[in-house]
Amino acid sequence: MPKSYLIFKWVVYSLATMLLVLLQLFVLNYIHVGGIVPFLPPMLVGAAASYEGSRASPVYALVFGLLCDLALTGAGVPAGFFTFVFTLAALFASLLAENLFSPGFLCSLMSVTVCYLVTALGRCAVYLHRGTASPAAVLLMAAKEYLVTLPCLIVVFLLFRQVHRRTTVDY
Amino acid sequence: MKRFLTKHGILVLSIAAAVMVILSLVTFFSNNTNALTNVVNVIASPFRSLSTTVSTWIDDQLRFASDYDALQEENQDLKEQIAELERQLRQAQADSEENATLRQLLGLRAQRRDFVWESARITERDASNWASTMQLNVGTDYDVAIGDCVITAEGYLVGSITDVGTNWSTCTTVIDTDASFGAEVFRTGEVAVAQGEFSLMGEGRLQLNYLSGEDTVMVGDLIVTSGLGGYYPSDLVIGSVQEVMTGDDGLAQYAVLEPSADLENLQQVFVIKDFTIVE
Repeated sequence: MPKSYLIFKWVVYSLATMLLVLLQLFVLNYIHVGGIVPFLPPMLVGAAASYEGSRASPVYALVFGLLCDLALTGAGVPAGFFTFVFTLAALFASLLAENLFSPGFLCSLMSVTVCYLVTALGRCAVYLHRGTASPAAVLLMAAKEYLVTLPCLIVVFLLFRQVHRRTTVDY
Repeated sequence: MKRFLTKHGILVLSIAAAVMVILSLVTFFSNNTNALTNVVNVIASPFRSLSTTVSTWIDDQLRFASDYDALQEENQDLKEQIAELERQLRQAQADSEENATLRQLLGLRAQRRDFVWESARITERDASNWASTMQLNVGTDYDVAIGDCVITAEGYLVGSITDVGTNWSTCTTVIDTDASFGAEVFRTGEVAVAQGEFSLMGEGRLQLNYLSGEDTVMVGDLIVTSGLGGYYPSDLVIGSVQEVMTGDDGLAQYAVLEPSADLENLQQVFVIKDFTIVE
């Protein structure tokens, strides 16, 4: 694949990501479902992993995670948390997507679920280390967050599918 | 898969781990926020302000009609409160004059509370379910520093500054799991520690721990900062006791507090940059 095409593809992915970040910032941050606010970032990593496979998606997750670490200063996690956890989540999710499912909504759903699970386990480790919350309480909160965010998968899936279709050419 | 894990996957994961270690080290060894985080937040700051302005405007429009009746009722209550407070103020003025005379007779220094503060606007509330923080529109350009106390116009404690950049700062509120303040039961003077607790954070409440004896606090008791150690000013109102509970060991008591500051609807706060208190 020519380098210029690769650059074009990831510019489009970046724009789609920015659009979804704005959705989080301007809309989702103000929606409370049972006191829980939808949290999109792990969903973006999972959706990208289901389309871009195990070579590109961990790099996307690494860059996106780094930006999250730098921008979300009061997110209650140590520095570099999102960088590492999102990369790890993208690795697992893309391997699952490549080996067990054919691309589609179900594949995205499974990838996204894996990403939320890995993020939740990462948070568990952080809170266990700090001693400020029990793993059960953390996992319960993570499950609620996942369920509240899940309806957004339709938007994320459709957007990323369009991006993937319009930027992927078989060489 | 094996080939992938030994080559590309491990390489990317190693880079991620290295980035995490570097970010942690930079954060650990710097007094303020690291330069990269600062740059990202300086760029993000106007977007945060815009999002808050837009959402506040929409919220105001939506609530205008429904708030009207409630405001009329509140106005009546406030008039009654003002009358009562005016009566108390007249009594307090007489007490204050008497206190000043007695202090003079005993040769004590006059009481005073001098605060150097900075007014700040909340540009973004944390919406991550995992922390209770808010972004303020002041930073090192206004001499705001990590550890500064943040209060409301009424003097209620909001939290403290935990991150600061050029034109932004992060205030971790009293209900966050990382928050911990030396506290005092106003009625009895008993010293304790007010701390955020994970399960209570979602309900907008916090805990009062390390109470010394039995039945030392009652529901409704006012909890203020103790000011011990001189780290934070004393007598800032943290909240009031909602419940008194016994710990898992069946011996130690703790209280559940409701913060006095309305953390959900705050728009303007004050950062205490310096203070002098003479009791």
